[in-house]
Amino acid sequence: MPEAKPKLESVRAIAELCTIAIPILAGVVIAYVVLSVFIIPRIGFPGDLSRIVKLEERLDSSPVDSNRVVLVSNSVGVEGLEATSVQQELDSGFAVENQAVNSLDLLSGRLYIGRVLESNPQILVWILRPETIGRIVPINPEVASAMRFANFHNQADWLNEQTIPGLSPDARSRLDATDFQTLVSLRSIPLRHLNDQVRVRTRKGVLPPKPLELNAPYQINQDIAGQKLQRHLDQIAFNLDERTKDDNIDGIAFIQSTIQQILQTSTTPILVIAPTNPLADEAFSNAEVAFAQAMNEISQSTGVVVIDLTKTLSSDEFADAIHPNRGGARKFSAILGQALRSHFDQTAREQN
Amino acid sequence: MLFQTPEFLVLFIIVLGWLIWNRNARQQQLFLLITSYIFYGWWDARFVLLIILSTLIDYTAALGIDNHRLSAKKRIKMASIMGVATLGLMLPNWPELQTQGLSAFIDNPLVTLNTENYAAISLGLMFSVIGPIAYGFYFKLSDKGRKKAFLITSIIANLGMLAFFKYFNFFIDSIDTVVAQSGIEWAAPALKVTLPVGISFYTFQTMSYTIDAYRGDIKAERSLLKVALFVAYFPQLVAGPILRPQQLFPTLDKPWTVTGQSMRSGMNLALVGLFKKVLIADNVAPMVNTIFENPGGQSSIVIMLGAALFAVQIYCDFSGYTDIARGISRVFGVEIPLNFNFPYFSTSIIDFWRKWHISLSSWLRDYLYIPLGGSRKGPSFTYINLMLTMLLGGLWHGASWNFVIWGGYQGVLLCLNRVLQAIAPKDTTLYRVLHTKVGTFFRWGATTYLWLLGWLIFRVSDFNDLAYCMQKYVLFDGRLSLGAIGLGRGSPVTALLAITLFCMLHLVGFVSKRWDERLNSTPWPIRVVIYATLGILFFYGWPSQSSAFIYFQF
Repeated sequence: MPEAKPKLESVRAIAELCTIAIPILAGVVIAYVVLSVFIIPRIGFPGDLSRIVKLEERLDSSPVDSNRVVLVSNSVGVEGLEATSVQQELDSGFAVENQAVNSLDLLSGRLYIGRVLESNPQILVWILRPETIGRIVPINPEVASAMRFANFHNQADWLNEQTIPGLSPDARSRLDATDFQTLVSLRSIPLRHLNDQVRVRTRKGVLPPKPLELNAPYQINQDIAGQKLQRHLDQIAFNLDERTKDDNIDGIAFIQSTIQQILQTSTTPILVIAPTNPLADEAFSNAEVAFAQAMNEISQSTGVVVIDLTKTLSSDEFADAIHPNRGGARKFSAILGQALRSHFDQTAREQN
Repeated sequence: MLFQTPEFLVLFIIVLGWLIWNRNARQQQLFLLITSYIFYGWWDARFVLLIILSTLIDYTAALGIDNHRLSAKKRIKMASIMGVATLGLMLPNWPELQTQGLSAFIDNPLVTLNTENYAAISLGLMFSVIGPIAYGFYFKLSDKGRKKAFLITSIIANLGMLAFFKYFNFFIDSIDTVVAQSGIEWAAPALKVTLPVGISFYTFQTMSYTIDAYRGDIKAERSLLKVALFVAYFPQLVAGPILRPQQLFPTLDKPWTVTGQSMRSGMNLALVGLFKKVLIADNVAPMVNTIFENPGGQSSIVIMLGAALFAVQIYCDFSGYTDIARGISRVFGVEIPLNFNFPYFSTSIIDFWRKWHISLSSWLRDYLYIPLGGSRKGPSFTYINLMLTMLLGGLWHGASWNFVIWGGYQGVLLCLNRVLQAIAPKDTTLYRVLHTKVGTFFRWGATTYLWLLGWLIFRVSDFNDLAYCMQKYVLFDGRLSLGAIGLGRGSPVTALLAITLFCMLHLVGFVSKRWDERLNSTPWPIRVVIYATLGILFFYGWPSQSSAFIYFQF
């Protein structure tokens, strides 16, 4: 019976493996359930994968030669802009698309704008907030991986100097495409399930998103106040401080080089300075002035139109420190639409 | 192929299945060798050629030293292996397959032959022709001459490959810098040399085989398969521990058996390693990167925190890798020696080097420090030998001046440690004071302060940044705020929590039982709960940016 013992040992080994692997898998399942049922509804998820995928699909299906106005922004635009309201203020010849992406910053914005330009819109409206004057912050990994997943860029040119200039070698090596693939393939399944629920439950009172209605998906209707609002204001002030504390102010140069990139195509860029909450004036006043000045300089050097909407909303029209609420979104959209129409009318008059 | 990736999990399960199902030693070894080459080739298939070349050289060298002359048939067979490997690894467009996928490979199956490819193919083919001819000449030498000739050939070949792939760019850059500073308009020839993963580890491992054969410590292995597996055994191939021939060859005489005990014990060790790497090191890494990416302007306390975080990161990263490697090997039924023995509890620098990266420090001791004369030729030579060993040990870590400085710093500390030993021998009052509880704590504190300073040199490669960091570390600036850490709100707390958690886990492991041993003896219902908790922690704590092991670059 020389074979009996090794066979028994093999069975024991497999049994041991099962006693280890099955509980670990069970732990992963428990963690997933807890995440989707308890945690995500409370804290939200920044990547907004499903939205980015759908935005990509819409860019793919957009008619190339139509009069499209594409709005590019971060969560301020996602939650604070209604494409239909903007469109109503413009004449019917324009199709307005809200292509805003949560957590979109300058680096991911550069990647994203490159993809938007491929769909050849007539106008690209880039909505920026004053803190972008400061240091370029590292790309948000969840946004980047979501964009990678949505095939915004093929793997070969994903991280080269032309695609994301100004990224430090260390940051570049950490954003290796292979890691992204692994990350995305590992997380895409839970993300697909969870992402649509995220914004529904992130903030109590938020209307359910309509994933295909990308132009106005969320519409905050319950504002935060008191200590919670103060904490948010403090957070925004802290972030601004972090980004502007040293002399390494490279955001403006980066915006300028992105504008140059857009100007090389047939698309016309328009820069919009987003409204800021008057409650945050104390923290933002210096940055606002500096940012407006820098935008004007960009305007003078490139000929790009800058629309300053900094002081257009009152504090009642914000849901928190930076995001317009439902009323604010409607007003912001209308003002933006009017500003764009006025600009187009003026351009038309000049051409005539 | 990284341990923490799905493809490695697949490879591990396949190998495990094969070892359980197949009980033929030779077939097991052949399968392990193939999977080891796949494991290594996953980074870049062409670099497998280096391992094959290294294997053939050391196999023949050791046999030659042992006065075992290979038959003409066997020499032709080996030359054919080299020739086929050269053409098979250098001609197909493996990079296209690995980066662009199968369809791109089918469209473009062969590489475009440039100078580098021509050179590699020519050298590979030349070796397969010249090798067998030169081999015959060596046997015409005297016994002593033949042994020396084989040893020197092996050392030159191994160190030559290491020098070329690891230090060529460094050498050229250094020459360019010196030339540029002297005002001469000249640039050294530029070559795009890619560093093969883990070349320093397997080069040292193969060298130890030939040197041990030369010293008569081992008998040269007759089986090429066993030598090839010794060189390429995948769990420890790219980041050690550096194995000695005596540690692996005896296990190859019989089939490896996966038992219930080896499975439990090995998997527990591997899980502890994965915990260290994925949950601690990879989560601490972004904080360390943020601090040291641009350290200028940071306060002393932030620099110290950065050094402490890096100490946690590098220990958990490297010892985590070692634990996984040892655990996997233990599952297969083969014990790989310990590489870390709680080095952060060392009470002197000599003690630290006995506990940190044990396989490298013992390699440097046995194959460099002792052959240089060790401590046998008086104090002056001892210090010189220590300095030389540590400088080369520093350079082994990477082709960069900061590693040389780090090696020099460690050498100076070891010399000072020896001076202190000479001042306070065992029967003196000073010795007794230093070995009281308070004295031991003081020695631990001083040692910790010194190796933390060493980690700064290791981590910060820019000289201006390094000077700033060292100044801030040594001369405390009195700024106690962590607010300027630049990691965002709340992160100083996270950083301190990470350090505290690590210290607690480390301390518990040190004073009682290692965590894997503790798990082994835990009743199974409790183990099941622990595994499930680990699953939960892995799900939440798996970093969004999975990173390679730090020591892979060495």
